[in-house]
Order: sequence, then C-alpha cells, then structure tokens
Amino acid sequence: MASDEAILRQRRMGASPSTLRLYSWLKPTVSLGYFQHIGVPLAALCRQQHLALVRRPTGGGFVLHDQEITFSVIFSRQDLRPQRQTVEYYRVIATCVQKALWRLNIAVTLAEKVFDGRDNSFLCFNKPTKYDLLVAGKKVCGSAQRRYGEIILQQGSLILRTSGDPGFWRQAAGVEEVLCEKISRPEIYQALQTSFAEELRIAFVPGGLTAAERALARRLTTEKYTQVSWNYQGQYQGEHD
Amino acid sequence: MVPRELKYSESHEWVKQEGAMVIIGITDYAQEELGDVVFVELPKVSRQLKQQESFGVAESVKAVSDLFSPVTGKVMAINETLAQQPELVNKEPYAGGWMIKVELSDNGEIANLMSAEEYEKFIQEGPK
Repeated sequence: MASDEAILRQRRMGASPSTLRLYSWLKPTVSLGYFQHIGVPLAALCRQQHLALVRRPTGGGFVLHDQEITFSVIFSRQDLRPQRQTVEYYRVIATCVQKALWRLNIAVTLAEKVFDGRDNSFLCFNKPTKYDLLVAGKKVCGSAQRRYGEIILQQGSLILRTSGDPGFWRQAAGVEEVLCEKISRPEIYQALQTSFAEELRIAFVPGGLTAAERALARRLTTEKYTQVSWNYQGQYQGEHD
Repeated sequence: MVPRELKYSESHEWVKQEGAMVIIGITDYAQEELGDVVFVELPKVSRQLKQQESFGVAESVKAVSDLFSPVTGKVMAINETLAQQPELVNKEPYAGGWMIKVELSDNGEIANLMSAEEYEKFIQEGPK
C-alpha cells in the first residue's frame, strides 16, 4: 500500500513514470476500502484466523488477499485520451486483465451490471459490479481506484484460489479452481505486463522503486500503513498533505 | 451549465468570493465525471490550506478522489450536511453541495483562477 501511494504521489509531482506493479502477499491479509468501518465481527474474524489487516488508499469493499496476483497501475489520465468518466477507467483496466487471460486461453467476460455507487458491497468479492471479471459466472477479479488530480491509482486482485472463510467469496472463485488446473505464474505475469502495456499504450520499463519512491514508501509504512489509527479508524494526519 | 459569477480551477473546483472569504465546491463537470458520490471527507475547521493542497476526498464508484484547494487560507467552515447527504454534491454542485469556506491569505490567487468562459473552453479542450 505504501509503495503504491508513494508512486502515486511521485507520479503527480512528475518525478515517477507511469507504473505497473505486480505483487503477492507475505501472509493472508484483509484490506479495507478507504471509507470502510471495521466492525467487531470482522475484527474478531481477523484475530481468529490470524489475518493481517490494512486500509487501502482506494475505495471499494473488503478483500481477503491470499492466493492471488495483486496488481496496481499508476498512470496519468493524459496517457489515455479521450478523457473518460471514472467508471470507464474500470473498463479499461478490466480489459487489460481480460486480454492477459485470453492470451492464456482463459474465457473471461466483463460483468455488465449497471454500477450503482450507492450499492457498494461490504465485501468486494461478494457482489460482481460492472467491469469486474467473471469466469463461468464467478467474479475472479475486481479493482478499486484513487484519483489524485490527473493521476490514477487502480489496485486490483486476480484471484487464483479462494481460501479462508467462505463468507468472503459468496459470488467469487479462483481462476485455477474454475479451470481445475494450475496457471504458470511467470506466464500470467508476462501476459499481464504485455496486455497492460498494449492497452494503455505505455512502454513500461522493468525495474524497482526509485530512491525517492522507496524513501516515501518507508515513511508511509511507518507513519500510516502500520498504524492502528489509519488501519482501524481511517485517521492519518498527513492524508491530505 | 457554468455559473458566470464564479471562478474555476484546473482541478475542477469552483470558488465564490464573499469579501475576504471564499466558498469552494466541485463543478458540475467534476461531479458528472465522478458519478454518484457516496462519502465526502472534509478538513477540520481552522486548518491552514495551501493552494493546490488536497483538502479532502470524495468516494464514488469504488473510487476515492482528492479535492484540491484553489486558494491558500484558513478553513472557517465545512458543509456538515454532506456527511449525511453526500448526494448533494451531484444534485446541487453549486449550491447545497458546497464543501468548505476559507479565509483568504492571498487575494491575488483569485485573479489567477479561470473565468466561466475560460473554464468552459478548458473542459471542452481538456488540460494541455
């Protein structure tokens, strides 16, 4: 989370390029949307099941990150012309993932349910919304967004296998579970890189965080993303700096 | 519809000047781009804002969007109604959907904002 926010902030300052990050999690972790309240039942569940917890800078619902490929893409709206409505960026990003899965011969469709902003599911993977990705009618990929002026951060999860409490996955499934076969991680990483670059028309250059991104990420990790005040109450003094 | 009497920023906030005080909200164009606004987070009263600093966020369609102050100054009031009725940002962007009142530190910043005519041209052509 800290790295994503660091790149977002640096990108707005013009100090970082548009960036695609593909990553996984060291331990099963629940992430909360920016405005979500963690209720007593979820807090208890996290404790019982030894799930880590972090609040995202993006919107949307709870996500249990475990056996998935997590992606975040940070880009300028200027990269994509013409400018689009917020919901249209979901379609663009979903299409990147859809085409990556097509490269691996996985039949995946975009959910068409009309998006109702007031009908925001508590649990992200319990309710497919428009432009989520479906395999055999089950949601396998969802994403959420932060808009920082002209710069957009889109964070998404491509589920490979569901795990933990089934309550997290009422209308979802992992791609590998639906296909009954294991997907090669290097192949899917490569397919995602290619599709994002082609769809967004951005020439991503492989590499790690810049020194400035790393320094800012370290500060945000210490001051924000490891703090109870942010993760449980959504309070961070420097949020709007 | 772009009200003639207001000034506008490139990040799609409007500014209404009332003496040393300004009222700030987001434009009709901005709310339409965002879609249904479901939450708004505004700053604490008395916070000092710098021009172009994020003063809060709005959530719509799983997207959290930063709101940027077009001016430097001190927050004197916030629209507390938006906590219960965030939809006012969509329904009445130039009236009931106002967000903050700021005491200006630098009156000159207002002159650098766009007029209604300039803003209309800006949203037709997009940022350079």
